[in-house]
This record gives sequence, structure tokens and C-alpha cells, in this order.
Amino acid sequence: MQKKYFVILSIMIVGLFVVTSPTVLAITGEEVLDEVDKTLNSNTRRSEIKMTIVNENDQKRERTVEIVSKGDNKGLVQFLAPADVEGTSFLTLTEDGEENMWLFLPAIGNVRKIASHMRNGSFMGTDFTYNDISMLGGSDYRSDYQSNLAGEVEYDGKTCYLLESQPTDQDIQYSRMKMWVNKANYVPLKMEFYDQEDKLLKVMTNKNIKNIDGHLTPNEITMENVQAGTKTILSLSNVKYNVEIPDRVFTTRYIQQ
Amino acid sequence: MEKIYKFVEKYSISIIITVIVLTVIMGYFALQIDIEAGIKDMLPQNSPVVKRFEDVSDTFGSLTYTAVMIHDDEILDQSTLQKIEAMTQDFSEAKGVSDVISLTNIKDIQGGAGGIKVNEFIDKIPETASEIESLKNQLSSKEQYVGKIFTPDFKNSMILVKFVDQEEPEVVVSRIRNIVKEYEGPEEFFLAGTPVIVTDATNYMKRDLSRLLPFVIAAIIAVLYMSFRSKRGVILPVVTVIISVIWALGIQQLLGKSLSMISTVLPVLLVSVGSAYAIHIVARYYEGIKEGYEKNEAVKKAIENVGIAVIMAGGTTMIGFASLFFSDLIIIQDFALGTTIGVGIALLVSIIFIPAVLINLKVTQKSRDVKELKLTQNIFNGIESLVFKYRKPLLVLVVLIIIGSILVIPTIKTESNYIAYFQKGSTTRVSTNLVDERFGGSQPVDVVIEGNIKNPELLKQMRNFQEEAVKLPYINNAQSMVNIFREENMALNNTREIPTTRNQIAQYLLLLEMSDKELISNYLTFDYQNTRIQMTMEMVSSTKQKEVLGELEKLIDKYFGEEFKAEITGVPSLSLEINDRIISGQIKSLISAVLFTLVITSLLLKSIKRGFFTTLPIAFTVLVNFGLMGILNIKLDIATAMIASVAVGIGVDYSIHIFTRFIEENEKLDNPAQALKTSMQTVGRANLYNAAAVIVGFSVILLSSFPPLVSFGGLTAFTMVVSFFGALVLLPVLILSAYKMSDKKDLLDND
Repeated sequence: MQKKYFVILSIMIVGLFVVTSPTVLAITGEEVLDEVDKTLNSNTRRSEIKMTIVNENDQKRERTVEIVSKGDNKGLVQFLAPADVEGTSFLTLTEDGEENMWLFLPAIGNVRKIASHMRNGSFMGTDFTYNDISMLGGSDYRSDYQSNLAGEVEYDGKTCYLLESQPTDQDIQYSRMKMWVNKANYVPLKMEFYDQEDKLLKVMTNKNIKNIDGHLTPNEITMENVQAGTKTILSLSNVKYNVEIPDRVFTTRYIQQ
Repeated sequence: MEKIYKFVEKYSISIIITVIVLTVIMGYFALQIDIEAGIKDMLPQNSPVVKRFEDVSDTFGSLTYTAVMIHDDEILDQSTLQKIEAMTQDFSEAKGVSDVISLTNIKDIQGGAGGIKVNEFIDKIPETASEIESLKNQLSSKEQYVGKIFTPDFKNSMILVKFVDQEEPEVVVSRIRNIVKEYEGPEEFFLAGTPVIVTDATNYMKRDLSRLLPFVIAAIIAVLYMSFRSKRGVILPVVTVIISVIWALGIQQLLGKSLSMISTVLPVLLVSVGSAYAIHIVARYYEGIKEGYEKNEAVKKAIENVGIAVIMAGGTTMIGFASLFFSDLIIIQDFALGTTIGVGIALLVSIIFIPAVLINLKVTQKSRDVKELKLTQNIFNGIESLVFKYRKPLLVLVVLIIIGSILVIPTIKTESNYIAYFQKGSTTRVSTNLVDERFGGSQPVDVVIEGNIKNPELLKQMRNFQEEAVKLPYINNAQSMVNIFREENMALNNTREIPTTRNQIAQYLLLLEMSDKELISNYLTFDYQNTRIQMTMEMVSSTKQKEVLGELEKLIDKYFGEEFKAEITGVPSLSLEINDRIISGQIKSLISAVLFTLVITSLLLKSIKRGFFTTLPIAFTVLVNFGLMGILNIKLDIATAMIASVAVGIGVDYSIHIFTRFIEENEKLDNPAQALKTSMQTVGRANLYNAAAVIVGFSVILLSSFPPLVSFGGLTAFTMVVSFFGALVLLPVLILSAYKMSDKKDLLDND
């Protein structure tokens, strides 16, 4: 009796180990991220994004921006609407592993460099932080996070790799993150962000994934702050890959024009 | 009446048992009744003023808050700042608190390389003298916090504790008090704000009344003993009132009502009023016993002869109280409900329970030869000679008093500001005055404006309005998006100008939203379409409040006019609404009390003329009550507003008893003068016992240290004196005069 019980227990433990241990899986967390990078990144990208900001009382604010990016070190956000903030620009440049951000508000004048402490602040009043946005823009996720593959799970009817990541960058406000990556095409479908007290803070979901110029592109990205009850929906349109964008676009002089 | 007697005789034991059992059950519920003290709860929920107040609270955060002021020689030293930080934390965690604003969590907009930076002003508590000095310099330049969160001399600091709207303010106030107690010394703390004042007022009332209630009962027992000279003459009326108090509280609890500040007088009122019915029954019972009737026969006589008068008296008292239902204030309506129920119970107990007890008690020899006090004899002889010898001078005197009263009535002022309730030198008043003096008030006054903040014209007018508004007396600390933009511009461009174009405003907003979303949500709705200006107002009388709010309205018209819709809300608006409703309610309930009394007495006495005569003395009493208020400069407030109706309800009883007895005797004797004398000598005595009990009961309240209770007790006692003499002097004088003038014998017969 004793012996039989011990055998069952051993099988269970081994079984658990087989299912959850990354070492048994054919691929590591870092490798999954490599594939994600390949899927999402492109040389250049241009898109229009409508940002719908919803507060806890379900009231909405809408803003439209154009985002252009080149490589994984140059990004520019320019406001198209509403008219009263048109021309407001936000530039990100990464040089020698150091990320710099500038902001230009036409009615106030002067390009202003954004201090590093603001990167965890709200991006243009949305539920995204600057860091979240720069991650979307293709900044190197792997350099900021240490990721492990926690297993394979079902999400939204799809088999996904579940990644668990801890930030390696001291400046990142999250304690940890979870990412669901579609096993079939390496598109991240969902991310969960946990606060310093390890409570779920925000959930990001990618929907309406389309193949544009050979790139799988989520056309609707939602960031929901579950603690505050607010959310921001980004709707992408006019997405173009590998268009010619001169380097001078990504300068402080250009954004003031 | 016959039926009542038969019923009582048949079921006397069951009646006694049922009443006792029910009283125990009601007692269980009575003990659970709550006391509520919210100022908003005094007004009906559908009042537009309440609605606006709640809408603004929902949109921009609670308008109900307590100001905790800290006084110390140096508020920026380490120990005091640490204390403020810890208290801020404790307050935030207290149940019922929605938000706390203090020196340690106020936000600061700072300029710098990255545009602007919004963070907590004090992120690190200064340790050295030079750090303190540099913090002082920084703080001194922050115009939106100087005089609001700290005084320029850094000796006083403010913690604003905002309440969750649904929470009972008195519960939250006591939580705040407990936290403050933990941190007291060497720093001094002062609490102010409407929730504190209302809670203090309620607690004072509760404390004084529970202290005084035993004395009220003792005084009434003494009066009853002097009147009846027998144990049952004392015990039965006292038991009646105890039962009615317990039932009244129990039923209110079962109806889901709670006691308010003013309904805490309910026990005293019922003790004084409720004893009357028992007194009349017991007095008539003794009259029968003295005349040599058997006990059952004496009980029967008592029910038959005074039963109708007692029911009428109780009925009119209930009407007097019920007339307060016509008040526009919830707090007075609830009081009306409680007292009407209580009086009804006292009436029922007197008519059914007391006879049931009397039937089961033995008649002792003692009760047959009870002696009367000399004093009582003298009073009645005096009254009699007064009425019959000085009829005309008395009439002239009454007319003069009426004219005098009418003349002073317009000078009566209304008051709905609770601070007026506290004596000078009381903690509540001292704290409030200090907060007013050092921080410009603890009452929120908000102006809410419909209009897009991105419209530069709106922003300009808001700035102009604010500049003018703070010049008004008692109005301080105007804060809005104007101040935030000014701070932002200071951080960006070192100038305090407000942005002047739509694009500028939009981009200033964008920059703020990027830095701190909460900072602007206090002043601006998410869609930018509604904005508010916050101000504070010092605690001043309703009259001054009205003046200042009127001036604010003018400024609103001047600066916002047709273009933008702007409205005032806040605690002073609520209290002015209460003020207005005191007057409108007073008029409505007085008219209805007098009219209904007229109708009831006319119906029961089967003649409008009789009803009119019975009602006249009490109308006189009400006039004199207001006359006295005018002369003594007693303000009409939620407590004194009830006196007129209470006077009608209680005071008319004396006239009813005299008049019914007069009719009874006149039918027998066919001699009005003699009939009057007999009525005054017999039922007049019961009236005297009753009036003495009520007057002594209310006079005990004069010992209270709480001014509104003193005026309530004093005025009620006074009106009882007036209505007693109204019934025993004025009514006989009127009846005699009527007979003399008309020369008809059937004057007061049935129509």
C-alpha cells in the first residue's frame, strides 16, 4: 500500500516537472523572444494610431497620432488630432544602449528632453507608460527583462508559450510580467503587468492581427489598468512597412518644423 | 366611552399583560436606535440644492470634510512632519475617508529639463536646519498652498480629511478624533468643519438630555406627588410616559428611522406631555372616589367624563406635532413622526392601560381623604377673582400684547448655522474660529462651470472671478485650473500668466496629463466640459452667509453671465436652503396646526363657534411666543421652529378641558358664570397639575449648558405658562364677554 502510493506520487511529481520545466521544452524563453522580435520588428514602419482613452466612468477622450520607426533605435510620435494638439511630437533615440526622449509642444515652444523619471509616467495621458510605448515601438525587450518559459497554455483557443519575465532595468516600475505568445506565429496575444506589491496592475491584449506586407500586425491594442478601472485602446490604420524614411526625421530640429 | 369602559373591565388583566410584554419587546428595539447628524440628511433628497451638492461631490470628489489643524512652534521640524505623515496615512486608512490632503502629500509642479515634473512636495523629510530653511523658501513661493495647507509663519498646518459621501459623518468624525488623540502633544490639534460641528452639537444634546432626563422625571414626580398626594397618582402617569417613550423609540427603529439632533428631546417632551392624559384620568378617578363611588364605578365615571376630553386633547396634540410633517426639512418631519407616535401611545395607555390597572387596585382609605395644598387653593381663588373682577382691563392687556407681538415678529432672524449653538469659549467654537482666522474657513464653497476649459475666454473669466471673489468678506482660498496653469507656467517659463490660446491650453493640459492625471481631476472633468472653482468660507451667521453668497451670485453673473452656466454649491448653500425651509415650513405647519385644531375641536364640540373659542387662547400663545423671541432676540432655528407647533399641540389641551367641562356644567346649571367657576375649580386643577408637570419638566432643560436646548426648554415652558393662563383666564374672559355682548343664552349651544 505504502509502496504503491509512493509510486503514484513519484509519477505525479515527474509529470509536473515534465509539463512545467523549461529544460524539457524544446525552446527557451529567450529564444521565444527572439522569434517575437523577428515577427514584430521591421526596418521601418509607419502607422496611424487612434488612441481612445476611457476613464473609470466610461468617459472617452480620442487622440490620433502617427508613429514612424526605423530600426530598433529610432521612433517618432506626432499628433494629428485633435487640432489643438496637432504638431505635438515625441522623439525616441537609442544610442549606445542609452535611450533619450524629447518632447515638442508647438504652442509652448522649445524641444524638451524628457527626464528618465518620467518614463514610468503616463504616455500622453494614456494607460501606457513611456516604457510600454517604447516596448511597442520595438525597443529591445530582452535587454530590459530576464524571461523564462513557464510552459504552454491555451489562450483564446490558441496554444501559447507562457513567458514569465522579471525586469533587469532598475527603472522599470513593474515587479514582473507575463506574456502569452502564440506558438504558431510568435505573435504576443496578451501581457500582464504586476505592481511592486505583486498585484496585477495592467493587462495588454493584442487583437485583430493582420498580415501587412508580410508582417503580422495587431491592429487593436488594449491596455487596461485593472486597479484604476481605466483603459486605452489603440486602433492602427495605414500601417506600412519598409517605407523610405530619411534619418533627418528623427532629429529635434525636424520635429520643431 | 361606555364601550371603552366595558372593554377595559372585561379584559383588564389581559390588557396589563399585553402592554407589559409589548413594552419589553419595544424596549429591545428602542435600545438599538441610531442617532444621525448629517446636515445633508436634514433636507429632502429631491431638493435641487442637495442634488447639485451630490452631483458635484460625485464628479469632483466629496465636499464633506473635516479640517484638522496642527499648531506647533515649527511645523517643519522632523518630529512634526513625521507626525503629519503618519496621521495622513492613518486618516487615509480610516473607514469612511475618501481622501486626505496634507503637507506631506501635496503635489508640486516643478520645472526642469523634462518640461514639468509633478511629485509630492516633501519627498524627504528635512533633517538639518538648513534643509528646513530651504524647504521654507520653496513652500513660501507656492501661492496655492500658503494659507491653505500651512500659514506663512510655519506654525500651523492643515490636514483636510474628506469623507465618503454615503458614510455617517458622526461615525467618521469619531474615528478621526481617535486618531488625533493618539498624536496629541506637544503639538496642539484643532478640529473644524461642518461634520465636526454637527457631531458636537448632537453629542452635546445627547449628553445634556441624558443627564437632565432623570431630573425631569424627578421634577415631574415631585409635582405629581404635590398634586395627588398618593403613590398611584405618581406612578401611573410616570409609567405611562415611560411606556410611550419606549414604544415611540422602538417603533421608529422598526420603521428604519434614526434619531436626529432635535429628536433627542423626544423623551423629555413625551415625559412632559404624555403624563397629561394619565393625570386627567387619575384626577377624575380621585374625584369619583372622594364623592364616594366604588372603584369600578369611579373608573367608569373617569372614562365617561374626561375620556372624550382626553382623546380630544391627545388628538389635538398629535395634530400639533403632525403639522410639523408640513415642514420642508426631513429632520423636522422625522421628529413629527416620533412625537405623533409617542403621544398616540401615551393616549392609548392612559385610556386603556391606566383604567385596567386602577380596576385591579384596592381603594385605600387614604385616597378618600387626600388633602390639597393651600397654594393650589390660593391660585384658583386668585384666578377666579381676576377673571370676574378685571375682565375689561384683561381684554385690553391681551390686545396690547397681541399688537406688541405682531410688531416685533418681523425682527425675528433665522439661523441655520450650527456654530451659533455653541457658547463662546467652547472647544468647538474656539477651534472653528482659529481655523477661520488662520486658514480662511472650513466650509467648502464651490462654483461649478459648464464650459470647455480650452476656451481661453472661460479661463480668463475664471481668473477675474477668483480675484474678485476672494475680496469678499469670509471667502478665501480660491483654487481652480487657473492656479494649476499658473504654477505650470511658473515651472516652464518662470511667469504666472495663464495660457491665452486654445492650443496653449490644450498642450498645457496634455503636459499635465502626462505628469499626473489626478492633479487636474480635482478641478476638471474628463471631457474638459465642466470645471470648478473651490473656495472656503468662514463660519458666519446665516444672515451674513446669505449676503456673501448673494454677492458671489452677482460676480457669477458678471463674469460668466450668459456664455457659461455657473452655479454655486457647498455647505453654506445647504445651510441656507435649510434656513429658507425653516421659514416656509414654519408658516405651513403653523397654519395647518391651528386650522386642524379648529376643525377637530369644532367637530368634537359640534360647533364652529365652540371650536373657535377653544382655539383662540392657543393662537394667542403662539403670537406671544414669537413676540418673546423677537424681544429676546432668540433666532428661529430648527429647534425653536418646532415650539409653535408643540405649543399648539400641548397648549390647546387646557382650553379643551375647560371648555368641555364648561359645556357640561352649563347644561346642568344653565348659568354660564357659575358653570365657568365650577370648570375652573375642577378641571382647572387637573390642568394646573398637568401644566406644572410640563413647565417644571421643560424648565429643567434650562440647566443645560447647550444654548439651543436652553432656548428650546425655556420657550416651551414659557408657552405652557401662557397657554395655561390662556385657558384659565383668557378663555373664561372671552366666554363671559361673549355672553355679555350678545345677551343670548344659547350662544355656545350646538349650531
